[in-house]
Amino acid sequence: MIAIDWSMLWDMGGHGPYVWSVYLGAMALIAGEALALGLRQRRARACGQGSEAARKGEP
Amino acid sequence: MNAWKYAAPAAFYPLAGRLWPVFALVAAAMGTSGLAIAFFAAPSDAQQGEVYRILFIHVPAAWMSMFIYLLMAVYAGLGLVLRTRLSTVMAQALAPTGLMYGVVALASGAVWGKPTWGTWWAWDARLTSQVVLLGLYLGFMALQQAFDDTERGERAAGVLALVGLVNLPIIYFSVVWWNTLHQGASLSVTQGSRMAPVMLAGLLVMTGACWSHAIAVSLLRARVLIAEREAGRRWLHRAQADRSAPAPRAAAAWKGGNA
Repeated sequence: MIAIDWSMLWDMGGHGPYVWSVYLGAMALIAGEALALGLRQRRARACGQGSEAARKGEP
Repeated sequence: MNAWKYAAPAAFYPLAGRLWPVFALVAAAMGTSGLAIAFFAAPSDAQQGEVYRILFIHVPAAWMSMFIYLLMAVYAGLGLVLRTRLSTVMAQALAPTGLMYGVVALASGAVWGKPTWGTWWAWDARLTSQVVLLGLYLGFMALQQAFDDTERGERAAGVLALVGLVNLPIIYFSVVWWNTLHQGASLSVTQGSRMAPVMLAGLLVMTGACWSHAIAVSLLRARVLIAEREAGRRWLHRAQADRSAPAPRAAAAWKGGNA
């Protein structure tokens, strides 16, 4: 089993704040985009199913 | 199998619904593996030490911002020439993801630049052309929404996307054509790789993760756009009620306009 030096991994030779801010920022952007898309999909689904045209059964 | 039937939104909608979770899973698996290689398997860089590990997100994000722009312009061009609705939907679905990757590339580059170059930003040819790319993405998205007539907006945005293609070779060759602060390519189709194999493996796996993520998100966004545009159509109502609705039935039910 590989032994991981967590303090070294966090510190990154003094460059930890640079490296981790990049990765956490990118993850936040990706998660934010997915969340916004999920919310938009729910809204589109609700609007589509509740629309007047859908109730009338237009093609 | 007639693949062209998927050019119809009614056939594409359920297909995209089945495909996007697959690509999302692949993206999660590849992303986890890529990060494991980036942080645990790849050795320190001889010159930059540990900070070079930003490369594993910076380079795939920069590549994706260019590839996605190319794809977006191709779809926008098809939409202009063939007037296919799915093409304009796909171009519209790709733009925000391309913009996001462009922002990640620029931001990660700035953070990488501070400890290595001593500055967050320089008006260097590579960086400036990447900023222009972000402007093109924003312009494309803004133009689509700028007209009351949706089709006019899509046509104007399509023309901008095609004109903006000229920026892609400028970004790619900027480090060759001009003296730049930005380093040259570490990976070239003609000259191969100048990286250690384990670093290259991590970079390629992370690139695969970004590709899968971009495909998953674009398919999902295309579904949302189709749902918004086709709201009230019976086929959509049925497809949303029954997620496992077979594509041919949905396609047959769709009677609207051109594909």
